[in-house]
Amino acid sequence: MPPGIPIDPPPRGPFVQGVAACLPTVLGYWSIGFAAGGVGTLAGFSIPDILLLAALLYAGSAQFLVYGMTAAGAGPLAIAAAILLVNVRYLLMSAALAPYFRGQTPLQKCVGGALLTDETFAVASGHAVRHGALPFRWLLGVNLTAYLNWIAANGLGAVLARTLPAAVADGLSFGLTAMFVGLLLLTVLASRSRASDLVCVAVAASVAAAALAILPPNVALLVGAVAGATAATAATATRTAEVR
Amino acid sequence: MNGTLVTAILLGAAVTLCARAGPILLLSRRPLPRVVVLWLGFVPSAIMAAIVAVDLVVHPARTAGGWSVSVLAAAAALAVGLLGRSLFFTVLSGLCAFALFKAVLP
Repeated sequence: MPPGIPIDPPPRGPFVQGVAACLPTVLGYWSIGFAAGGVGTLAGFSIPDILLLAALLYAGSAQFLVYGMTAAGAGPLAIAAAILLVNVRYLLMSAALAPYFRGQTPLQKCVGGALLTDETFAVASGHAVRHGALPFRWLLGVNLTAYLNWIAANGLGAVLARTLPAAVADGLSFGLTAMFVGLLLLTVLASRSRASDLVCVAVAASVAAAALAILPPNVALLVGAVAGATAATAATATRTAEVR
Repeated sequence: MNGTLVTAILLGAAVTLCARAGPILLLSRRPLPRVVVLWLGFVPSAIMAAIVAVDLVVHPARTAGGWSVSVLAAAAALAVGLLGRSLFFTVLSGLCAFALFKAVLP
């Protein structure tokens, strides 16, 4: 820097503001990312594999799915189809944010959307509603903060799970199932349409279990999930019609 | 990580990227039909319920006496989850219950 130029305090640019906006959600990334990394180790994945998975998929439920379905011997197409189904909610979030990206280049839209998660969606939609736009650099600050914390949490979870004593690790294969019990419970408890969600869970679980008699586990899983979501939609539509 | 798994993960990553960035890129101004939005909203819990059901049927972890340790431990985890509403304690209690039931049941 040439001498004589007065040094102003650096202004808080949109990127830094984005980082700050993301900070409250970082604890959430750490708790779930830590669990995701740990489950990966317990499912027999190496630490580089777990980090790669976290960096490429960047979605807790999809990562749990890969661990679980690989353990069950599922093929690539079944795993990809399952990932599509659990991540299909991003279509909705992305569509909801789309109007606030007007005026950005296609590359900027792509970068902004590629790192969309449940938590960043919550932060971004709040900002979008208040300010009417999602500036590229602000969203980049949010997204990179979330992304790097997610990968770090996965790595630490994977390393710490490796140091568990063998006697403890023996029973830990059940951890994946327990994780989904917990995730399912939190999803249903947070739902605004709990009765329909209970229909959804009951139908999905029983159809999946019944379908195991004639279908391989990964296909039975998808059939159960589609049946559950369809039944819950039908139940909700029926109830809404009655109210009217 | 073998080649099949790498294929699965790359496919999954591509699919996820399309889901995340696709609608933003396409800027669909027309909102989705309500029934589609509703259906999509139920997908996460449907998937997770199906996963738990398949896990419990495929890996029951039966004792010599015929008890399914997996099913009992899942019930214990569910009970703790309902009381505590914490993911961490739900998983922890499921693991403890699994070890306990495996040790004590005939």
